[in-house]
Amino acid sequence: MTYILSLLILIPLVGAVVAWFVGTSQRLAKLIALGVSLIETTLATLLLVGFINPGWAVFFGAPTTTPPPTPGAYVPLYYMERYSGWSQFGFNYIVGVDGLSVPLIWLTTLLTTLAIVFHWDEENRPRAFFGLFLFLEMTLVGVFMSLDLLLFAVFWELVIIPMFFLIGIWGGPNRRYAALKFLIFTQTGFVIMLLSIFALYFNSAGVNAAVYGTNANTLDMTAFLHGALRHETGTLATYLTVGLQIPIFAAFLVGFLVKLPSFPFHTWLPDAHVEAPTGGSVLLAGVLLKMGGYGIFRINLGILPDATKNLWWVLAVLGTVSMVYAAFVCLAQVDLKRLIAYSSIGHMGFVLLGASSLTVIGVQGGIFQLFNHGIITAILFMLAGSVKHATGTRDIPELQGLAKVMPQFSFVLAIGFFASLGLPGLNSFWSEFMVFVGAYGSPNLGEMRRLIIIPLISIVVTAAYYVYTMQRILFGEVPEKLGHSHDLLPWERVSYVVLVALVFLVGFLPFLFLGMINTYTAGSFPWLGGL
Amino acid sequence: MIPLQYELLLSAMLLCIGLYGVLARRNGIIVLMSIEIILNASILNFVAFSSYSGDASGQVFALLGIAVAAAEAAVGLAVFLGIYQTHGTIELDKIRFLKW
Amino acid sequence: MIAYEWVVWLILLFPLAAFVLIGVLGRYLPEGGGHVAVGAMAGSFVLSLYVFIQVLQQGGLGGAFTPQTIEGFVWIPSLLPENSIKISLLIDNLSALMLVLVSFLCLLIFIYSLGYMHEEEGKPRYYAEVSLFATGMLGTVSADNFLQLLIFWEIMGLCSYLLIGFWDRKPEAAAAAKKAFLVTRIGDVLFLVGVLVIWNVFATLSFGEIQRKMASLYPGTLTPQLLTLIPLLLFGGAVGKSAQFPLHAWLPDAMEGPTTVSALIHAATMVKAGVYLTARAFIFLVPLSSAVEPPFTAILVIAAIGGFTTLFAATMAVVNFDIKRVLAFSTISQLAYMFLGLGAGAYIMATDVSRGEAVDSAGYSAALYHLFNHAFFKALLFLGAGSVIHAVNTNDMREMGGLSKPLPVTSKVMLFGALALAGIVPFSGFFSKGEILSVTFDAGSLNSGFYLLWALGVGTAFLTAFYTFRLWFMTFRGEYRGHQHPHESPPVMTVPLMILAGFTLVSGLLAYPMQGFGNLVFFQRPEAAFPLLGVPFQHLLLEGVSMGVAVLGLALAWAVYATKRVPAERFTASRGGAFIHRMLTKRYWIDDAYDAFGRTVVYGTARALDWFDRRVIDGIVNGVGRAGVVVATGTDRFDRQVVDGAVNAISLETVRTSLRLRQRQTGQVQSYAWVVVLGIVVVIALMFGLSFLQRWWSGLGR
Repeated sequence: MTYILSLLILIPLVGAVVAWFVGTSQRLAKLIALGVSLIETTLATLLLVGFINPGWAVFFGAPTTTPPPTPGAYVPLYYMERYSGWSQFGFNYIVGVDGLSVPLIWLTTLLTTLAIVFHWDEENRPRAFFGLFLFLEMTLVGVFMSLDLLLFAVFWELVIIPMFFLIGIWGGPNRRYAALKFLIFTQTGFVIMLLSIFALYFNSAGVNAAVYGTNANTLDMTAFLHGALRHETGTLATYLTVGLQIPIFAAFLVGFLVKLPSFPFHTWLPDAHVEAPTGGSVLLAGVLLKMGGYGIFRINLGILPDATKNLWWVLAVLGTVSMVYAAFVCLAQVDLKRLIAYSSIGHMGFVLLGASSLTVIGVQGGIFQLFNHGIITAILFMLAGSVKHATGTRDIPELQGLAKVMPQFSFVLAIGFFASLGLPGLNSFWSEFMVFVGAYGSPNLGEMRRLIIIPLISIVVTAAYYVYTMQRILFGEVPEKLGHSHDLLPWERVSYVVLVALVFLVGFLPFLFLGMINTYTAGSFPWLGGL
Repeated sequence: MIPLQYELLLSAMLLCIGLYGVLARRNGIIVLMSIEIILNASILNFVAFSSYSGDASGQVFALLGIAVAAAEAAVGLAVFLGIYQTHGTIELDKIRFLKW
Repeated sequence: MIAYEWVVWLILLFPLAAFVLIGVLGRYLPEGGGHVAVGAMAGSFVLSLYVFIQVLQQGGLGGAFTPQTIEGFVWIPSLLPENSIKISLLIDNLSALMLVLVSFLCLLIFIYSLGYMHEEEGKPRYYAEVSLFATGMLGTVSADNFLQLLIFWEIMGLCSYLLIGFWDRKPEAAAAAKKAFLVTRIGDVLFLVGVLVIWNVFATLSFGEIQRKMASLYPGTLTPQLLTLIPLLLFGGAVGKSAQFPLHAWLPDAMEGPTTVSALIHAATMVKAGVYLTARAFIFLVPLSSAVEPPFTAILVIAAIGGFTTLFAATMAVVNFDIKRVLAFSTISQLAYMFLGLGAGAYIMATDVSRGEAVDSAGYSAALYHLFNHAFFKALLFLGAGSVIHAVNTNDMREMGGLSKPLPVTSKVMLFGALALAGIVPFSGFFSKGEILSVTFDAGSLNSGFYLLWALGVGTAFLTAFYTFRLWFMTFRGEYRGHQHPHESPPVMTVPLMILAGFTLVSGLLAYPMQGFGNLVFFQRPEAAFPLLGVPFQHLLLEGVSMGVAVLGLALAWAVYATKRVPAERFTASRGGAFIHRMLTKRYWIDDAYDAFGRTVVYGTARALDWFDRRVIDGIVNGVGRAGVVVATGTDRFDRQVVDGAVNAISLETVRTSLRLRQRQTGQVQSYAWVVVLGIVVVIALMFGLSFLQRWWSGLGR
């Protein structure tokens, strides 16, 4: 099955159309959506399994590396599909996956399925609702797969549309403001990013000639990936000059930082989350934010290594500020969902810090953090949705003693919170630990490595706000009005069981995912330092 | 032979007289007659240059001009007759129906 | 026959399996799965004992045993296999002994819990959490590297949080759980930094590898500053976990949990992990080769914090009326003894190393000996206190008294525990405490600061005996002051108590068949010496001093609380005395200061940043948005008024001009004629003028 990747893009698209037009009843629409997303998740799981251990690969065969076009280049891209019919415009349909994108693709499909399950009782325009979810899944999978800059940009742009409507139609009371803010922020970031894509295009002929022997401008990302790699390993003398890379890097970075989001471009996130429906929040925090991190690793580090070596400190500073700042802001939040949204900002700071370390272990940690945060934040946003559903409020001061009335909820909440604060044995400890190891061992820092204590403050504050929140909402006597709150609904429980199992599984056996991430990192960034 | 200058001088005098009549007199008939005088001044010019240069085409134009003048006089008188019948006057400053 | 490796793994896997099983199926099991937990723990204990016997058979006594590493799987893969981080278990004398100790005490406490927790709600939760807690401690003491140690260490932190907050309806319990987690978390972060530094210096985290690599890396990669920093960071973690000053505040509050949990935390697990970690950190304190200059500063810091905390905590124990809090303060104080012993021992050993002599690991052994003994008698005291609380339903000693009649077994075993804690011969505390104090005194000849620490230790020995017997007399002597009908606990609770009471004697006397504890647990070099036999006269004198002050303290407690010859009020009669009493009751206002710091500084920062985020950052965003709207409105007005205005103005002006020009159309033929004539005149004039100009111009050119 060599068309597996295109299939992964097509299935949800077809599913979205079918759910929209055929789903004549609410029940039928959600059944179609669930079925399609389950098929998609199964395919993605098979893909993932092949990456965990090539020996376990079934149905698609073991991952096959595309031979590099010129000797000396090694970008471990697997299952690549390439149609160059339109190459006179510099545009090609190229999709491919590697250790960076496979975990994220799998996360996307999984979270979409769980979000659909979680919204099993959605009654407001279910056809459009579930259709948009599938459409969103298609665009997200497309972003993580496309290896052509134009294709990438198109998918990137398409992602905004379903999310805009999900917030704007099914959102909370202030949804219009939030949806518009989201749209304007990400759109602005995208436009700035587009400048870089143009800049790359008009300077691509030399790289294309060196890698593929075609002296024409191209949008083919693989040409740049190979070119950068060969340049860094010394087998290609001329690549994009540093003077050119730096502005391109900066403009890409703005687009990615908005999406990530990082301080100071983060304020769209709390508003968008507070207003978004639960499933929207799950995908927004679980996957959409990861696009920013993915872009940083794929493009900023992968295509523009020289600029990265010059501008790593921007990432380091922004990452650190995001972590500490968001942790403190969390401590002051009243709305549970807003708290979780800010905690996402802090956790994405780890990704920036890991990328900025320019060490193998730090970059691995950053990538792993993308995946881990996706799982944990999905749990947390679902919890915020459950508590709102059960008690009618998300305000922390109004909640008390839930351990008695909602024991299952409390159990999942405790696990989610502890996982999020990086408790060893749960998944995000590994990524955070690796980021810290990388940041401390960063060859750039020299004596400044002592500053590692600043991001470490955020660990204590993170623990503080989570434990403080638990103290307020789980412990104590149950107030009168919360006395008859129902515990988790059956379909909610399904989502939680899957995610909590993953938290433990990845926590105990991190190498399942670290193996492919390690292959990717070591193969793509041989120029990274550290241990 | 009369020198050309004299004939041109006469023609210019006729033109001036005619212009005076056209611009200054109120009576439509008088204006019409003054136009005839201007026409005649031009015809005189044709004849004068024709004889001066020995070219007969000037004479031909003079005859054509006399014919046109006659036709014009006929049309003009008929117009004034009509105006008189509808408006009761041929005083030109009373006739304002060309105005906006 | 299962492989030996699996035996070792199963020690950890049994309680972990119990955790999973009880967590999933606990509510369908009798006693909430308590029997499963006990069974798993018994399995762990048997296997630990088997491992320990294996170690002994392979020459554990006397240092012939070579530590074994049980290789596990890779956690963090790396391209270079030696840089991968693995989970592996280390079996050496110390960890084998700790495994036995931990599993045995956990087993007794679990059995006791069957009685103590019988009437509680949420038993499955309790047993699942304590099983995980035991897994954490067993994993901590068998970890082969610092990262694995940190992981199990944090699992214990999580369990202590959950168990301290077990009675979730009590606001105090929630606050105490939060405090415990956060305060230890501060230490954990320091520990984490320590691990980061170690990894970046040594590229490995395994104890053995580090010890081997140290000499080759010194002083290039491993600078003297780093060598001082690393043990201090690790010790920072230990200070948090073992509740030493200044991170001691969580432990007394942690008494909000069930008493069995307190016993678990204080006796076998959690707080002991800090001492264990510091013992493992000896690889930095006492290098193998004399080429490496030992970090004396770090050693002094450890000893000083130990010496200070021991007296500091003991003073607070003197004034407390909560039976469990007295014991909690005594735990802090006793742990501080262990740190003092480790510090003093490390100082002597480091001096030996730098002089190129063979090391004398007496301090190291003494501290761990005290850990071993303390585990038994503190478990006994806590479980005994639990038995008392079970009987009278209060923690307040002012509502107890005269309980030795209704609680005969409890009162007797508590007396054993009290004697051991006070350090009265032949009970176990006497041997280890005296040993620590004499090592400290010995270290004084190298650095006179240790004489001061020794004096603090001796003062503490006095106070320890005093508050211990204050507790015992207030609880069991005099008249009953409460309003319950106390009765003795069921056998499931008293039998573990009696076993532990036996161990308060046995654990000390065990040193004789082992030829001294230092023959079994040592650092680098074993030392076979019987306690009190054949030692220098000075040591006998020192042990005599520590016992003498303990007897004095006991006597004072007897005078004040048993016979009431000296009324307690006398101590607070003077203003100074009252002030000191108040200061001690308020715990030196340190907790208040921490609370105030958290409330004002941390929370204040949070509020300020939240305000900043909403007002400034989001303000800027909204401002930009609003500016956009303003610009848009302006553009709109510009468009309507200027651009469109220009278009309209042109058309309007055209119309207006034509209106004005229309006035000129008088309809008078003659006026038109005038214009025609004038035009002709102008044209003629222009023609003449232009031709004239042209001629004039060309004339100039010539």
